[in-house]
Amino acid sequence: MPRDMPELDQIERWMQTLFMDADGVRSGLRSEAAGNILPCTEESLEGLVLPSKQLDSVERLSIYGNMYFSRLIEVVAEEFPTVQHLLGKEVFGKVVRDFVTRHPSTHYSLTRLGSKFPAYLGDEADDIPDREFVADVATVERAMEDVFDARRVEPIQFEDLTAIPIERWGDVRLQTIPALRLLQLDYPVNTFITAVREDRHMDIPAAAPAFVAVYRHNYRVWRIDLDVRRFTLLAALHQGGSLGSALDLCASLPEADPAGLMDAVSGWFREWTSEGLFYGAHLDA
Amino acid sequence: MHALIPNLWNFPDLGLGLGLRPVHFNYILENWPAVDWFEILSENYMDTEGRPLYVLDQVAERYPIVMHGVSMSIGSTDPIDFDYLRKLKDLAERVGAVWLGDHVCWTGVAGRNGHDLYPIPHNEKTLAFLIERIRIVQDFLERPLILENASTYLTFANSTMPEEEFLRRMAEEADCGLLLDVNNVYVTCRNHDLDPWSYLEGIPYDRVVQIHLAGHTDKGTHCIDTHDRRVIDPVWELYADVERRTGGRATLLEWDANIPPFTEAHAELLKAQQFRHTAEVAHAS
Repeated sequence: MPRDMPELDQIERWMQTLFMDADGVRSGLRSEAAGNILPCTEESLEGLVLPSKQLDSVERLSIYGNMYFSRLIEVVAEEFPTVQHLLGKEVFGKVVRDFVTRHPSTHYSLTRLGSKFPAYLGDEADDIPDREFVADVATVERAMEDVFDARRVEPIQFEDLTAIPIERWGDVRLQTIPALRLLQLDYPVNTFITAVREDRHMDIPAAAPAFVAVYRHNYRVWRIDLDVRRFTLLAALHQGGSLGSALDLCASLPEADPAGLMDAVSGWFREWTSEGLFYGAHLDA
Repeated sequence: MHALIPNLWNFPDLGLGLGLRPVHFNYILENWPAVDWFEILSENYMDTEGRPLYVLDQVAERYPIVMHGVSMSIGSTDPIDFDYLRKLKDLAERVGAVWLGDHVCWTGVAGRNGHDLYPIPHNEKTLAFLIERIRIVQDFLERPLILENASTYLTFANSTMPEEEFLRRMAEEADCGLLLDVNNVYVTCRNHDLDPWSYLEGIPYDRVVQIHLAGHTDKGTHCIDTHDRRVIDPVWELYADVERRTGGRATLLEWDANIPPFTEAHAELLKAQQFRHTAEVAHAS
């Protein structure tokens, strides 16, 4: 081996810089970042990477560079199909290319890649049409990914709740399952996501407060719209509040009907326990 | 006729296996098909407690499981990720993995991940570096690593030995096993203007524990390891040669894109029987 050949660490960092250049390997070769690692021009490239009979050295490197972006675009598209539908395939591809350039993957699992995508769409991405709506859609689609993989626990049943003495109900703290996300949004995106996934046309709805629960039950992921009362109650419990304090919060809402609230609440808990949303009930000492 | 060579660890010839893929989960759970064994992509089950792990637990009760990863990044100059290895080891214990492995490659450096199998130069320095890393990982996992020859698309100017010699010395000096992907042999040799039959001559078959088969995309100027179609005849011919040499190794068909129904993938896998039969006849004579 010639004495002036680069170390493996140099080669790897240089190659990665080329592969992750959003404008392609040829652009990467001219970049300051790559030059700082290994001073190599297109003209001197054959000193590092040999051509084949069919492809020159840049073309051979570009196979990896092209695959890097196409693979990550495919992965993000699979996780955010409604966002891709909204933006169109071409714009979506460009947005993801920019996203992974600014936020490259740092974890071995590809499922982590999209975790910052909703915030990126909302705050950072260039020229996103209907930005707030798109970001809300992405938030729900990411929540679906999160609950799909979340820790599994054994849910409690409605009968477990009714076994608690009624005079102690106010002190009960219910643990929500790890596979539950409660989302407060600016747009009613849930029905839109359903329409796109069922291949039905739907216009982008007007802005309006929306509350969505995304959860996993029997290894399937569900999305349901909640009214503000249900959301307030569930969110207070999710944050560790006692049932009494959560109900007080719920009753204080302008939308609440304090007289009818207690009747309604029993039905809500019957529904929520049948969906396995709680896995523990603890009484304060 | 070649001598028949058992593998050094007496790992069993598991027969003909398929990659366990989510698109086939329902079919497998409903039919428990007559497949000899399944291979899993380790990373798809390491960070989830959702349906994939639920399905895997059931599959592992009925079939031998082999773990094959894509993110160990054994050739990276980044520090070894022991958190990753711990999860890998835990999963191997959970499913009773018969063996586990990854690829001779790196997937990222400087804390970033390209989620691809990047090549390393084949020279004394990288060989020594790789051997040390493999030994450390094997000590941690308390089992031999079974490492696969990846498809590669470029040749380093500072490579000083053929890939098969690099693999042989790596396996012998690190005391690890090999997963011989005959499709990758074909793809790599096409891309580097090499003779695959000569490549196979240099493989240490006593280190070969498993064989991979797959389809690839021929771009005319080069081949891409796409795992999206049937195995081509020249790859079957290489496989037949390996089977003749070894007397039979656990063989797996990979199909990761444009995945057909389970029965179609299984039928493609069963084509391997004719070549295994040849090996059995040779073994008996």
